[in-house]
Amino acid sequence: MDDSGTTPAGNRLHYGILVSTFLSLVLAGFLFDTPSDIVKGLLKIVTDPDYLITDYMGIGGVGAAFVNSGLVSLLCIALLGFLKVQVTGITFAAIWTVAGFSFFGKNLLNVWFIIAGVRVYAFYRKEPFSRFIYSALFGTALAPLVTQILFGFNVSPALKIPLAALAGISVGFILPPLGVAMMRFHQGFNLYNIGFVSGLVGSLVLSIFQSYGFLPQSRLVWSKGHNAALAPLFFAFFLALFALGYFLEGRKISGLAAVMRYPGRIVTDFILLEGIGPTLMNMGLGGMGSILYLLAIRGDINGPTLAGVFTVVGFSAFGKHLRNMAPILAGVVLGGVTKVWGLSDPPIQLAALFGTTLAPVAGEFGIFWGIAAGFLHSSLVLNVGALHGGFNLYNNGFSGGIVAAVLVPVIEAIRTGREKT
Amino acid sequence: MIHEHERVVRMVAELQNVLFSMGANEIRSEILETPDAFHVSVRGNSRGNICRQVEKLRKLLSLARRADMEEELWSLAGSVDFDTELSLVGMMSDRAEVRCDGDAGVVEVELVRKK
Repeated sequence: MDDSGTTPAGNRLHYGILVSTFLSLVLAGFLFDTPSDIVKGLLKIVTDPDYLITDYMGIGGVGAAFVNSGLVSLLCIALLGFLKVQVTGITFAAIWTVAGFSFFGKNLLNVWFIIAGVRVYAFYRKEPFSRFIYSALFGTALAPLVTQILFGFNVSPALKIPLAALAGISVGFILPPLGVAMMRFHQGFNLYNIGFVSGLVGSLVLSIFQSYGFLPQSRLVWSKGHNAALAPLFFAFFLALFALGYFLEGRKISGLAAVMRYPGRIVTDFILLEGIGPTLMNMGLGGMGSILYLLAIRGDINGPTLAGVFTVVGFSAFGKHLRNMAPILAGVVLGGVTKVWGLSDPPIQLAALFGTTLAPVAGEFGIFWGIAAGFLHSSLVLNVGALHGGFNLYNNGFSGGIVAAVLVPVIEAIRTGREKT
Repeated sequence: MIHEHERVVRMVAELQNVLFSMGANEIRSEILETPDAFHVSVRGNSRGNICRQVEKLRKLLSLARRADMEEELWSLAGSVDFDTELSLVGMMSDRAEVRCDGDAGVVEVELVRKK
């Protein structure tokens, strides 16, 4: 069977994997809390302003965070199915990213305004919505903008409800053309392109808000103490993902070796290039590696770091693998040894996981430049959040875009110089 | 669809980059626009028999048209000369044909992109 997803059977298999994954996440939520606690937790989650860093496990509890993540993902998968979108690596990346950030910032209320904005753009352009579906899904990075206006502004509901809707829809409307334009800025070396775009848009929006007297506040809701329960659960889950890939590939791992030979620059859709089996094995490895990294640095497995882990897993279907991620992590660790912060500081835990957005730099130019990219990223990401006031959930994508845009032309110039001598 | 001509130009640029990387030093490109489609032909010479390398080219260009991926990523086609975006060009085309004549030292790619 051609399992690249280009056949109806392959596509059904991919949808089935996605649905069963996130249905199991919803069900797992009930292992941690009672149904009534989960409902109360979900209400707390959807009425929170959400800007960075807001751990939904700290706001609504572990069970509610799981159910929120699972339900938001399932609804997005339903939207993909309704639009008859073919599921390949980029689809896995988009859904896993949405799922991950539904542990810290995206919820059952706030994502739809951005998606509606992209829908309005498609209507305006007289083109099918399915063409812009990835801008819509990734663009939910700016969902906290909606909830900040709804629940963070002290003005009349008659004003803030239409204002929140207008802000969300307007942002969604401008994302697709910006996504195309900004891709050229980093030449595909920053895997979270919409994160970079959202950083720019968030900075613009924050500037407007500040002109009307709004002052952004820093926030850190970061829950601890879940490692004993969550590490074995997710490690086992990612092991199962690897095993599923192994069996779908006919108990061979040669395809995984082929995956690891790609530099990983956009567009590297592993499902299209190597099939579902090697891709799932790669995703499983990415997930297990991320959990082990967090345990090794005595980090916390909570909403924000699970977002990082899920994003690694999702993009392991679209460019990332252990070979191109390891140098980035090494660069962040090097920063931890030489800079003023420690590896277990919350923003640095996130920088290490999300910093793998720069994995294609290591894949294309080698270990040294990968380490340099991780080292630079770990400093820059601590400073760019102030520009958008935490409205852009993909802060690391914003930083990664800048690092790639600065670093890649320099690397090319140095390499070209060497070739001529 | 906006930037239709720019998209086709980028597809041609990508193919030209690939032929350069395969050793060509003479490349000829043609674009024919009809009411229904763009017909693209890019032909390059080669030093030695490079027909073995053409299999990968053929595989990537034969990927099915994907409007959703194109809309997000098309601006990367032809953007750098040290890596390829052939799979993207494949996803921007409805039909691709790759011919290689090892003896004559010629590689030719023909694409059809429906409007």
